[in-house]
Order: sequence, then C-alpha cells, then structure tokens
Amino acid sequence: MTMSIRELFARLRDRIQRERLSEELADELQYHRSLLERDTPPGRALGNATYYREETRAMWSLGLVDDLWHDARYASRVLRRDAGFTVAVILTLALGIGANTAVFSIVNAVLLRPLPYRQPDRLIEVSVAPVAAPTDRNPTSLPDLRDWQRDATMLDGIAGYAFNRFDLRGAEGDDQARAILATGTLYDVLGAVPLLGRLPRADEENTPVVAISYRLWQQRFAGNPGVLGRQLVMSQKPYTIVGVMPPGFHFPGPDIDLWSTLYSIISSPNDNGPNLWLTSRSLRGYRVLARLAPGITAPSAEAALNAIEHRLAVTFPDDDGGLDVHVQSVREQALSGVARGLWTVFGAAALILLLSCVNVAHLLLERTASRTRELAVRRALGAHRGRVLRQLAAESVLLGLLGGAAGIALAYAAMRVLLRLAPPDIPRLENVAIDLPTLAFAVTVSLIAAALFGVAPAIFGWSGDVHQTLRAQGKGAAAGAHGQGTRALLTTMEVAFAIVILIAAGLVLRSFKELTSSNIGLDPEGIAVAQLTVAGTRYLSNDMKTQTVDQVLANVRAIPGVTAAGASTSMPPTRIQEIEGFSVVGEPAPEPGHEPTAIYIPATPAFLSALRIPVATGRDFDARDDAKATPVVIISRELARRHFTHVDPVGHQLLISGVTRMIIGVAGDAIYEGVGAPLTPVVYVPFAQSPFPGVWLAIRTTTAPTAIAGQLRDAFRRVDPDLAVGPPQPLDVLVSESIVRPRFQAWLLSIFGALALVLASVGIYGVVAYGVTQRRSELGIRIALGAPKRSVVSTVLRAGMMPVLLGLAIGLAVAYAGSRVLAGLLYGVTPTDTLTFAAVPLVLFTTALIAAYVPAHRASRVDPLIAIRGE
Amino acid sequence: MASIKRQSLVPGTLDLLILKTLTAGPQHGYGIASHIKDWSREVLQIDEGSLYPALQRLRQRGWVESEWRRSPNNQRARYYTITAGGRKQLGIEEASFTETFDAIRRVLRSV
Repeated sequence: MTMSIRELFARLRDRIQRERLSEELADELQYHRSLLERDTPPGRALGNATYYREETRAMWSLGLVDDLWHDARYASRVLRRDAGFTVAVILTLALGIGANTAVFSIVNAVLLRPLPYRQPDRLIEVSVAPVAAPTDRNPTSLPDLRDWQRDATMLDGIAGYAFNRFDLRGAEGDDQARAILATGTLYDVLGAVPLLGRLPRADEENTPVVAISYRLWQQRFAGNPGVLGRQLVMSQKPYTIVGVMPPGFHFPGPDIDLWSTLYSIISSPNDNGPNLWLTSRSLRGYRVLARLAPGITAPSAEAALNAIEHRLAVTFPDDDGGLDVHVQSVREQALSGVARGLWTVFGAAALILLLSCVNVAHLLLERTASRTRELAVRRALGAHRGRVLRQLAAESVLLGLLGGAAGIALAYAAMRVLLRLAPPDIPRLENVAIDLPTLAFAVTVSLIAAALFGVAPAIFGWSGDVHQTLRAQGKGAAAGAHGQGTRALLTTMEVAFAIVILIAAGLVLRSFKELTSSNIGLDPEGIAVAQLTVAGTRYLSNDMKTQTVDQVLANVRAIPGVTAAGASTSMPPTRIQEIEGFSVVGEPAPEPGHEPTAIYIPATPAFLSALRIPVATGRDFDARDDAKATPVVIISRELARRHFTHVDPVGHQLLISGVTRMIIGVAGDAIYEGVGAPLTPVVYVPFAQSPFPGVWLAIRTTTAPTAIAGQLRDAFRRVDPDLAVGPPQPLDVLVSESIVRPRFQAWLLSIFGALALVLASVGIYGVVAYGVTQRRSELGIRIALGAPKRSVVSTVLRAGMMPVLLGLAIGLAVAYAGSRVLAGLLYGVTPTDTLTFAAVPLVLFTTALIAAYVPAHRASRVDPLIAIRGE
Repeated sequence: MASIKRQSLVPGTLDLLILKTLTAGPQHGYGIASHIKDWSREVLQIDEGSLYPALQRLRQRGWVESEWRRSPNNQRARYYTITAGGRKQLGIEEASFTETFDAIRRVLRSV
C-alpha cells in the first residue's frame, strides 16, 4: 500500500500522541458499544471489543518499526528477568568480539588502509640481484639509475633514494635522525600529500631543503606551524624546512624522520673530484622507486627494465654483468613480514569468536529448552510461528549488540596494552584507533555472532509442536534425542576450534623459545652502544677519520668502569653497513652474478674482544694493522666453513672490493641479520685500512650502560666540540627489541590459547552438566537399582567425552593441514612439530576430562528418591 | 480489509460509503454504521474493527475531521464531518465506482 507524504506525517503525529488518541478511542468505542447493546436483540454476539480496539490502534503505528521496537522491549524485559544468563552471555561475547575488534583495529590501520601515496598500487620497488641468487636483492648505483630513467618508457617516473643519518644540533637539543636522500623526481613519483608545506621539488636536487616527520615536528618544534622556512642544522649544515609530513607517513619505513635531496652527497666531494656515490657504477647505494605507466603491468615493466640492464651489462661487464632486475609492489614490500603474522593473529581471534558463539549457542539452547512452555503458550494464544521466531531473533540480536558494546569497551582497554607491547617497527601503528571502520566492524561482527548463535535455538531448541509441548508438562521437552545431538555437535565444534588455536599458539611459543635460546655469537650483557659520525669537510681525509675514531676510543676507555671499547661500521643484532662480493685467491674466478658475498665490516682493534666474539684461530687486529701495513682480513667461521672446508684459512688470501687481503684469523659467527636469521659469511677488515664516516662503538662497562652518557659526551667533545653523540643504548636491550615482533606474536597467541582453553572447558562443563540435569531421573533409577557409582560416572563421562574426542580428531586434522601457513613465522620448529601436536591434544583432553568429570561425579551422588520425585 | 457480515463488500468501497454518508451531515461512528446498515436493507453490516480503522485512515488522509459533541441523549460522542478534500475524493471514487460497476454489469449480461 502506498502512502502519501501527508498521510505519513499524520501517522507519525498520531504515533506520538498515541496515548491520548487511545483514551479517546476507548470512550468512542464504549459509546458505540452502549448504543449497539441498546439496539441489538439479546443473545446475539457483539464481537471482540479488545480485538476491534487493537485493529484501530494499528492505524497509529509505524508498522515494522513499531513491531521491532516492541520486540526489543520485550527482549530486554526477558533478559533483565534472567540477569545471570544475560551477564554470562555478554561476558562470553565480549571476549570474542573484543579480541576481534582490537586485532581488527590493528589489521585495518596496518594492512587494509591504502598507503598514503597517489595510486599506491601503481608504485613498484626496483632492485637487482645476481642471476645465481635471485632473492639477494640489492639497490643500484646512481649512473645505472640514470640510464634506466632515460630508457624506461613504460614507467610514469622512476627515482632513487639513499639513506643517511644526521646529527641534529640546536637550541632544541642534540639528536640523531635517519633521512632519505632522494633524486629530484622521487617525491613526484611517490605522490604523497604533506600535512604542511611541500616536499622537495625536482629542481632542488642540489638544494639543502628537507621535509620533516610528524614525530620530529612534535618532538623538536612542539607542533609549531611556523616551522616552515626555518633552518634545521643537519650534521653541521643548515637545511631549510619546506614541509611537515602527516602522522603515519613512513616512506619507506617507520624509522625515517627526514626527507631531503642529494645535496648532502653532492656537497661532500671526495679527496680528488666528485663524490664516488654519484659517479661509480659499483657503489650500489640507491633504492629505486618507480610508478607504472597506465596499462603497464609489473611483469612487463620488469622485462623492459631487464632489457635495459642487460644492454648495460655489455658496456659495463664488471659492474652490471650477471645481474637481473626484479620489481615488487611497494605495498608488498612495505608489509612483507608483518602481514602473515597479523593475519595469523586475526585468524586466531576469529576462532575465539566462533568459540564464544558456540558457548552462547549452548546457553541459549538450554534456556530455550526451559522456555518451551512459555513459547508454546504464546503460540496457543495465537502467535504465529514466525512471530515467535522473530521474538527469539530479537533476543539474540539484543544479546549480540550488548556483547558487542561490552566487546568494544574491552577492545579499547586491550588496545592500549597491545600498542604498548607492539613492535615499533610495524608501519603505521600510530594510526591504530577504535575508529569508524573499527566500530562498523564490531557491530557487523556482533550481528554475525547473533545470527550464528541465534540459529541454534531457533532451529533445534524449539520444535514448535504446541500440543506435544503442552502435554509434556515441561518435562524437559528438549531432552529429546535431537537436543542431545545438537549439544554433542556444539562440543565437537568447540574442541575443534580450540585445538586449532592451541596448536598455532603452541608452535609460535615453541618457536619463540628456540629464538631466545639461539646462539647469537656474542655477549651483549654490559655493552653500551653509541654512534660516532666523522663526516663533513674536517674529516675528508682517511687519516683524519681513523685518528678521530682512535682518539674517541682512547677517551672512552678512560671512563671509569669501561673495560673494553672498539668500533666498527656494523653492529649486532641488525645493523649492516655494507655487503661485498669476494673471491678466494688461487681459485678459479666465479662467473659474473655468481660471486659469493659477505658482510664487509671495517673494525678497530678490540671491537671483537669487547663484544666477546672469539677469534678461534689466528689473531685479532692490533695497532700494527694500519693504513700502510699489509692488507689483512679476519673471516667468520661460516665463511671458513663454506670456502676452506679442509684447510686452515689463515695465510690464504681473499680479493674483496679490489683489494687482496691476507687472512689472519677466524672469528666466531655473530649475528648481524637478526636473531634467528640464517648465518651469512662475514669479513672484518682493519678500520684504518678501510675508513668510513660513521661507526658504532661497542663499549663494555661494569656500570649500567646508560649511566655513562655524560662521560661519553665529554669523551667525544674533547676530541671535537662538534661531535654529537646520542644516549648510549644497552646492547642486550637492542637484542631483545629485535625479537619484539615474534615476542608480540607469541604473547598474543598465548593469550588467545588460554582464552580458547577456558572457553572450551566452560563449554564442555556446561554441556555435560546440562546433560546430567536432563538425565537425573534416569540416573536416579539406575542408582536405585544398584548401579555402582563408578558406572554412573563412566556413563556420563563417556557421553560427554565422545564428542570431545571427535573434535580432537577433526581439529588436529585441520591444524595439520593448515599449519603450513605458519611456516614463515616459525624458527627452529617445523609447522608439524611432533611435540606440539602431541602436547596440545593432551592438554586439551585433560582439561576437557576435568570439565566433564565434575558434573559426572555430581551425577553419581544423586539421591535416587529426590531425583525420581523431582520431576 | 473490511470484514462485513452477511455480504462482503467490494474492496475500497467502505471509504466511499462513509464519505457518502457524511455528506448528509456530521455523524458519529455508530450513526454511520446504522445509516449504512439501514440503507442497505441490512445487507451491509460494518463492525467496529472495520469502521474505526477506516475512520482513522480517512482522518489521516485529511478527508474527514472529527470533534467531540453532546449527542441528542446528552452523551459525549465524536462526530465526523466531511472536508472539502473529502468531497473531492468522494466525487472521484463515486465516478470510478460507477464506471467499474457498469463495466462489470455489462460483462455479466454479455453471455
């Protein structure tokens, strides 16, 4: 029936003043009735006055809206009446919905939200790798990049960028920050929108301009919008601040605070001529970002770039021979390593939700069973089956939404804890919030949950056969065979869900344990780590760099409590400055693209001993190994294992970046690529023979590593008042921070595992206990007939544990088949780890047994008289 | 829609009958029902469950207005009056009904 606007308004008006209209109608109908009675011969039916009134009142209602409102009010009355039940359901749901909402807020901010660049799916990262080692991705050189740029027509722009660290000096205090040094086109290719101002322009490649991060803006400039146009002194050179980037802008990673140009490289010429980083094809210091032209796919761009690169290999066989170009979407590259872990956690959270839904479904089923009479009476009084089902649905939806509200509150609290514990290297973590998409997700999940657990009682719990129910006089109508079957099914599902979560948690925990107990090859305890930068015009000469580092180290060793100090360009557990190809002198030269590579670490004497990296054969560096002495090298045990299987390497020679070096020792394997990463060969060379403008100091001290901050500053300043130093960091903290991501995952999955265990045991207890209640009279009769208690217990246990065993089998099969998705997250454990697959079912089985035993034991103590009379 | 004793009413005609009745002057609900019953020689009997929802609907559409008055026997009763819009609607419905009714009669005579 169509309704005009005018009529709709009239209805709304009537709806609002329904109470008054209703009174008037009562008067009107009473008057009508009195006249009717006067005019009607006695004995004739006059019709149902109440029915007539309801029919008329319906004219003031808003149809479905009013009906739903009525359902909701009735539902809330019913739920209030049964407060214990309602609270149990809401708490159970809050756990499931809360866990999902909290995890979703992270997944949404980190994985789902588009990257803050223009058309981010068109952006690719371009890298080169030796033909023989396609996963060994490397940046490229600036001349190569310029050649690609000139010839690559299938790209809408290509640009390179290098990383650098700058000392920040000024009234705001000393600090250090990581920067991007970009070729002119980078920021056009990226297409990011600054919060304030702009990014460096294409014509500013040789201009000291910089855009700063939101974090730096807040920390250093207190969010002052007048910062644009101000000077920022970066490693003694003034730069003009031209822009501020928004929070969550992490190109290419969360540790970058400055986006600048090639100015700092161009303005630092070498001893004789321009900076080699601008001219050399062998210095591969530039990562490459490109934007695909419309209609071009990543593979076709890769093929075209390879054609260019292979042409370059003909002209420059030494530098470009044996290399392939690889492209990867920027999104993939930014989120690799994060995505799998987050999706795993999200999957576990989803299973927790299913578990809580199953528990709630059982609670509802029990409750519907005890309400069969109420429902049957309502039907007998004329309610349609659909109407009653709608009422049950309204209760489910209301429960779902209440659980959702409690879940959101829980998620809000949980998220604060999560963010404090979360690894800081997860990109865009500061965008995590209970925002609109998260709320929408929570509400959707609540409604889906309501549909899931609401279906059970609607289908199974109430047959709808009014007569049978009313005749049964409430003798537990749902105790029928199919009610029992439904509950067994719920138990099976519950156990299956729980075991999948627990297997995942067990594997990740085992892996984390392996990780923390793995050998890192050094003793981080009592080591303070600091950075020293000897860049700028004063330190152009190699001698000056070496001398300054030596003087600073001498001053540091004089600090009370310091027992050893050394410096090198790389630092465990994750800081690698350079990787170089090498060859063993006397062996046939490898094909281009097939050279072995090693982490190349210029180090001072005492660097290895300070870190307690043992030099097993040969000797450590000492003062003899200066710039004029014979070039020497200490190799790592892993390199010796790969290339000197049957001979003592000491005395042999390596050719590394054009220099032939004599091997003088073999050092233990220390980690530079992170805890748990496969070992890679390392070469240590004397710092004096290969100086570098930036080093890490390893300082062994008997005091707390952070306590020497003041003396450290003095040690630097006495050499040169312009040498800046950040606060010293304890190496053991750096090591433990480097595994914060696996720790976070292990921690989250443990919580979910514990939740799963609790939910499953509560659920199993509930099912068995309810089964016992239903069978009380039967059990009573058995006991009265002389059945021993043991047999009663075992009867109940058997009924309770059968579905558990089935669930165990199904869950194990699913976990076994699905555990492969965890492979990338695990260290030292296979996805089908025997211990985990044996221990987890045992734990779950034992827990289930206890949960089932408690009501079973109670059943054996049933007083037969009370049990039989109780009905 | 309208449940009528003895004889079912052609759907939609209840509004027509009420509006037509009210052209004779303001009337209360019982009066309207009596008028229809009398003039249909007791063929059409309208119960409260049809009459009062119809009156509410006509009021919401703006075709009738109501006010509380004293009835001849000095009781409070609600009297309904047809509005100008109601008269217009009556014209439309009467014409449409007559047309439909004539059409049906022609078909019934055809064979």
